[in-house]
Amino acid sequence: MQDDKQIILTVSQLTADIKRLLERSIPRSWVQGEVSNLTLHSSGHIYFTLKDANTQVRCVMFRSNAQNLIVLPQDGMQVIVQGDVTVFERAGQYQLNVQQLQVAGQGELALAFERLKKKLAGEGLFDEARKRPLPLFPRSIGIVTSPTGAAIRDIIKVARRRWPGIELILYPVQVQGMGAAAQIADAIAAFNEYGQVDLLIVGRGGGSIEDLWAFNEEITARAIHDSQIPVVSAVGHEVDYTIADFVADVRAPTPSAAAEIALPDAREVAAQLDDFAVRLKNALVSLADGYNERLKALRQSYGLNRLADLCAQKQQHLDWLAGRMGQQARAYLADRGHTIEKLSFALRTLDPSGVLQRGYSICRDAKGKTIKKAKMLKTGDALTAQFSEGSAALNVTKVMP
Amino acid sequence: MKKTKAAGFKFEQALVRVEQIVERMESGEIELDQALALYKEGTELMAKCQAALQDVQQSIKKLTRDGRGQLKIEAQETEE
Repeated sequence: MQDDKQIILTVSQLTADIKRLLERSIPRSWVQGEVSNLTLHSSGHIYFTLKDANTQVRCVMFRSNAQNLIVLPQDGMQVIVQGDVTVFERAGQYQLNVQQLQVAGQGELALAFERLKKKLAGEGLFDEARKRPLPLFPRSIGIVTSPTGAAIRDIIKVARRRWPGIELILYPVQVQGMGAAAQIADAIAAFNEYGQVDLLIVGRGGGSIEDLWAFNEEITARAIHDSQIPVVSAVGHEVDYTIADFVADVRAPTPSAAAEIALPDAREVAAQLDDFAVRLKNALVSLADGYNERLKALRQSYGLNRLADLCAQKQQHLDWLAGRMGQQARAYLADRGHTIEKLSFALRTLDPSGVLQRGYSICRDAKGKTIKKAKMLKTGDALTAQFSEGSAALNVTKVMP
Repeated sequence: MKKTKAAGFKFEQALVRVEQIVERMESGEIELDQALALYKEGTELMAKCQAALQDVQQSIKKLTRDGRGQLKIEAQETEE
């Protein structure tokens, strides 16, 4: 049984005592360890566990402190935190209320960079095959950067010089510090939702590795990877390589260079158009010349001239025929004339009255039949002899056949 | 959503088409009627390209989300 004098505490009272004891006796301390189980809560508070080879301690970094972070710690990262030991009463757990957090040296950032790079490369986020070509003549470019940085001024300046008609749409974001990566990722998603830009430029001007860290965070890398719109990364200076550069479709060494890469030079395009105009005109002139030449050649061609020749030939032939016809006709007529003369002569010769005039006479028998041979007669036959003028009756006295 | 002035006109397509036309014309193997039609098409496209080149955007726009996450686009004057 318990002693009557003994005080019985509630759990809450015990916890309150522990809390008071711990918080009063342990001064604000610097602690180094490896981050694990890091959770970024929507409230802006960060929860993680800090561990070494033997043990671990729960840590919380409230938003008011977390928002001053330059680099968001990652699991596996060695960090040095400054904080106060407190007790989270509801869970009865002691924890470190972190005021400040530093990455334990640049080597840690490099390691974190390599870890994420290896992980994302393993997932294929950097594959060349998935990188898309940029549109040659974008009409509208979405820009994800700070509204006050050098990057936006450089991009505007170069873009206006190269292609004055370009539409530029800025989604203003914080490019460094706590929450920057989340804003960048959201801006990329917002442009994809908006859908009316042809490409995105995501970046910022130069700075330390911590300043550029938002572009080395997984959330930024994934947003670039998930973008349906091609992305040009433009982070820092030429020498700075970030995870965003590996995921982007094209890496530009600087924001100015991004505008150069994204846009054609209007003057070059104008020169090309002029060249096309000259060539088009020359081609038409040369085509017209070609047709003219062909017409001229046709006019002088054997074919066309042959036609003229054919006409002349026909004409000549006609003349020749006409000539020949005349001749023939004349010859024919002459021939006929001759024949008629001959015939009329013959006719004249054959006229018995003509013969009679030359002293011949015709003897006919009693029946009027012409006697051509003496043997047709016998002595005593009566004949009639016809003369040129008149006739006489004759008697045959002797036949001499 | 507001579109750019040059919306509906694709510069790249126009330029590629003009190049095709020039090459086709230069080949010389083309009927005169077709050549004239292509010449007309080419010069019209080039005029549109020239107009697009002379187009100037005066201000840059700003895309943001409002409190409810709705997208909002507005003109933004920047210190240049």
